[in-house]
Amino acid sequence: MSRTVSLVLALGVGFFYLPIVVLAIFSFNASSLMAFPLSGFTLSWYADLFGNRAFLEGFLTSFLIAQPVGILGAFIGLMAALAVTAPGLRFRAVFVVLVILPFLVPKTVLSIAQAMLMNWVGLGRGATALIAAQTLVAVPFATTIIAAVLIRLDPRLEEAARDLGATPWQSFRRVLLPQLSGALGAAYSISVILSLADLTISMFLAGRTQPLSLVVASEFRRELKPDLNAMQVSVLVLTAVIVALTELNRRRLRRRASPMRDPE
Amino acid sequence: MPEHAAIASGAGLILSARGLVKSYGKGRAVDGVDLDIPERAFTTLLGPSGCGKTTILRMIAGFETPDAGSLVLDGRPLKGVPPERRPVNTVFQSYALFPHLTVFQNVAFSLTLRRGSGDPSSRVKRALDAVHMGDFGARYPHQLSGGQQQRVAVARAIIGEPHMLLLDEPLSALDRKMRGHLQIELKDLQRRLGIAFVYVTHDQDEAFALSDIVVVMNKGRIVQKADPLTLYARPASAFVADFIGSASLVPGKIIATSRDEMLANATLDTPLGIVQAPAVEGLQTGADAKLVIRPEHLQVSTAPSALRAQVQHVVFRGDRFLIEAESHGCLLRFMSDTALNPGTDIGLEHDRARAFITHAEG
Amino acid sequence: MPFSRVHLAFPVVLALVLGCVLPLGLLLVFSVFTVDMDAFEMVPDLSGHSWAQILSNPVFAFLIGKAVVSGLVTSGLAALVGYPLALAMARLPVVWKGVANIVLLTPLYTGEIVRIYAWRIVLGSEGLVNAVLKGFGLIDAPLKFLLFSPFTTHLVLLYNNLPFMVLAIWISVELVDHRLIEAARDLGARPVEAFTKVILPLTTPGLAVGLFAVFALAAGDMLTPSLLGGTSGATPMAMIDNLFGTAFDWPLASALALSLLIVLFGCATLMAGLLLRMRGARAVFAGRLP
Repeated sequence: MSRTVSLVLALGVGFFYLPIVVLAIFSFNASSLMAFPLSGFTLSWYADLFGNRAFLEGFLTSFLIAQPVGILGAFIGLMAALAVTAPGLRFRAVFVVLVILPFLVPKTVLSIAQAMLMNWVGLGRGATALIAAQTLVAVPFATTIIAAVLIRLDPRLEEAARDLGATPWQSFRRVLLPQLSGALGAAYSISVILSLADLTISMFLAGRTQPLSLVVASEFRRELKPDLNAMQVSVLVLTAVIVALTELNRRRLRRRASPMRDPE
Repeated sequence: MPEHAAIASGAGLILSARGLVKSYGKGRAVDGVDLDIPERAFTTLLGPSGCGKTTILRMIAGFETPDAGSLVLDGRPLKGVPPERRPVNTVFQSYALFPHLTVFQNVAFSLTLRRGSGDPSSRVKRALDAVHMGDFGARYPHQLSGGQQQRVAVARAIIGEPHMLLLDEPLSALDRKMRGHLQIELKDLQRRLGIAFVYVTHDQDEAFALSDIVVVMNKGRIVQKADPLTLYARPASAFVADFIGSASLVPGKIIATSRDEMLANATLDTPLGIVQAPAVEGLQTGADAKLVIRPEHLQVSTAPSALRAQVQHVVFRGDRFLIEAESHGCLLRFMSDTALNPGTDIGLEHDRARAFITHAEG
Repeated sequence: MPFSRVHLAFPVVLALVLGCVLPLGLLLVFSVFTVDMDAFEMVPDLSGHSWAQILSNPVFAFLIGKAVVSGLVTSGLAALVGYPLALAMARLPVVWKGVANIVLLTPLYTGEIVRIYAWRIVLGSEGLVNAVLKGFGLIDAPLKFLLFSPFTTHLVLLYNNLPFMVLAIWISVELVDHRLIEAARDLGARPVEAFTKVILPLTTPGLAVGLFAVFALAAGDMLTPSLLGGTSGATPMAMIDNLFGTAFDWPLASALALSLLIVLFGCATLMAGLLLRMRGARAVFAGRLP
C-alpha cells in the first residue's frame, strides 16, 4: 500500500471521527463547560445518565420502536429485492424509483405530507405512525442491501433446485433464504439504526410518544451539557456494537458458504 | 437411416420435439427444431455459441417455455409441467452446486425434499462412489477443485434416477487433461446407467469422443444429425464440414449429378479443375457447392498431374505439421511429417474417392 | 398464472403508494384548497391562490434556489473528496475492506442530532479547532465564521452525506477490471491519466448515483442549516414546517413542498442523466447486458 493511499485514508478517518472523538473526550471531562483546555477525568456524567428518567424512558421507547421497524424493514426489503431482481418484472424502472422514493424525498416534506394525510383521514399520530413512516424510510436501504446479494447469487442455483425436484417455495426456503441470512441481518440492523438515529420523522409523527432523539433535541435546544455527551457516546457504542455484530455474523455466514471459487 | 442402425435396434425414443421455436427479443434462438432423442444413447448437441443448443436443453429441463412446438418425454407431453416434475435432471455449466450445503447435502438435496423419504445416506454414498467422490461428503463446494465439483454435480443429478440426464457444457471450465479424464468417466457412467444423456458442447473433439449421435446446430436450426463417422465423412453442408475438423473447402458449380447404387455422385467445376466425387443428397445441376477435402486425404506429390500449390503457413501440431497452401485462389490444408518453408512450390494430390461434395450454404 | 417472485412487487407497491405516493399526491390536492382563517380549518374551495403566491413572492424561489445551490455545492464537494477516498479504499487488501466498510458507515448511523451536536463542540468559539489554533498562536480571538455560518452548514452537510458518495464510487471502482488500469499504465499512461482516461469514465455510473443521492439528501436537509447555519439557516423545508405548524396554511405549505420536489427531482435527474449519457457509463451498461 503506497504512502498516498495511507495518507488519504488517515485524513478520511480523521474527518469522519473527529466529532465523535471530541464528543467522547468531553463525556469524560470533569467540567460542565464544553471548552478546552480539559480539566480532568470523571465518570460522573455517565452516572448522571442513569439517574435521568427522561433519557431512560426515551431510550426504552426508541428501542421498542426500532424493533418492529427492523423486522418490517427487512421483510419488505426482502420482498422488494426478490421482485426487483426477478426476471420478467415489468416496469422495473418505475418500481425502482418507487422503492427509492422515500430516500429521495426530503424527510421533512414526506413527514409533513404523511401527517397531513393522517390528519385528513382521522388517524392519530403516535408510535404506529412513527413505525410505519420509519419503516418506509428504511425500505430503500434494506432493499439495496438484500438485492446486492441477490444479484450476485448464481441464478442457476434456483434452477438446479427446481431441476432436482424442489417446488418454488422449497427452492426459496432451502436454497435462496440460507444464502440471504447475512443480508437479512444487515437489513434488520440498518433499519434499527436508522430508526434510532431519526429525529425528523419523530418531530412530525411521534405524537405523544417521546423517543430518545426528541428528548435529546429538546434538551439540546437549551444548552450543551456533558451528560448529553455521555448519552450520545452510549448510543454510539450501542450502534457500533450492532454494526460489528452484523458484520461478524455476515462474515461467519459467508465463510461457511462462500460463493463457488475454483481453488486451482 | 443406416447410420442409426446400431442404436435403432431394439431402442425406442425417449424424447421427441416437434417445431420448437424460441425467440428472445428480435432474434430466434431456436427456429423450428424437430429432434428425436433415442433411449440409452449418448446424444450431443454441437454448435457455435448462440446456435440455440443450450436453449433446447433448457426447454427440455423446463426452464424455458417454447414459443411454439411440442416436447414429448416418455410419451407424455411436457407442456405446463414445471421443472421439478420432469423426470430429467441437469448438470449445469459451472455446476451450480449449493454453496451453503456440503457435498453430502448437495447430493442428498432431491431426496430430502419429500417428507418420509427415509435416510438418504446409503443412496448418497452410492451416488458419490459412482463418481469416485466417496470421501468428500463433508466438504463444502468451495473446498473442491473444478473436476471434483463437476463430479459432485453429476452425482447430484443422477441420484434421483432420472430418465434422461441433461449436461450443459459440463467440462468447459476444466483444463484439457481433466477434460479428457472426465470424458471417459462420463461415457462410462452413461453405459452403466443405461439412460439417455443429452450433452451440449461447442467442442467437436468432445462431441466425437462421447457421442453415439451428434446433432449439429447453426443459427437456431439443426443442420445435420448423424453418428460421428458419417458427420466427418459426409457433412451435409459446408458449415458442418468447416465446423468439424479442419477441412479444405473448394467452391464450385455442379455440372452433373448421378446415382451409384444408393449414393449420390456429383461433378463439380472448381478453380482446381473438374472433380467427380460422392455428394450430399439433393444437389441440383447449376447449384453452388463445395468440395470437402480432409487434411489426411491430401498429400504432397511429385507426379506431373499433381496440383501446383504454394505453401503459406506451417503450424506445428506436436506429432505432425499442419500446412496451409494456396492453389488457384483456394486454401488447402494437409498434414505433413516434415516442415515445409512458406513460399515453397509443391505438388498436391487428393484421394478422389474420399472427397465429398456438399451444399455451399446452411 | 403461477406465483412468482415478480408478484412480491404488489405488496411493496401497495405499502409505498399508501405511505409515500398518496401523501405526496395529497399535497397536490391541498395546494388548491383554501384556509378559512375564522374557523381555523381548511375548506375544499378550489383556488390557485397558493400557487400564485409561490410564483409571485420571490422569497419562495429564493429559498428553493438556495436549497438547490446547497445540494450542488455539497454533492460537488463530496465528489471531489469522495474520489480519492474511494480509490484509496479500493486499494486496500481484501481483508481490510470489510473493516473499511464499517468505518465508513458507522458515522452515518449516528443520529442526526448527535452529529450536529458534536460539530458544535468542535467548531464552537471554545471548541477544538479554535483551541488548537489559539494554542499554536495562529489566532488571538476565536474564529466566528466556524459556527453558525454557511461554511458550517456545508461542512456538516458534506460530513453527513460523504459516506454515500464514497460508497457509490467505491462500488463502481471495484467493478472496474484492475487489468484495465494496468493496461493503461502499460500503454504509457501516468497515474493521473489512467484516472482521467480509464477510471473516471468507467465509474461515471457510480458518480451519477453518488451525486444524485448527495444532492437529494443535502438539498432536503432542514436540521443542519437551521441548527448550525445561524441567520443563513433558512430553508424551504423549515418554511414548510412553519406554514404547516405555526401558520396553519396547509395549502401554501403543500404548494411549496411540491414546487421544491419538482425542482429538486428535475435538477437531480438532469445531473445524473447527463452523466449517464456519457460514453463511459454507456459502455459500462452495455457490458452488463447479457
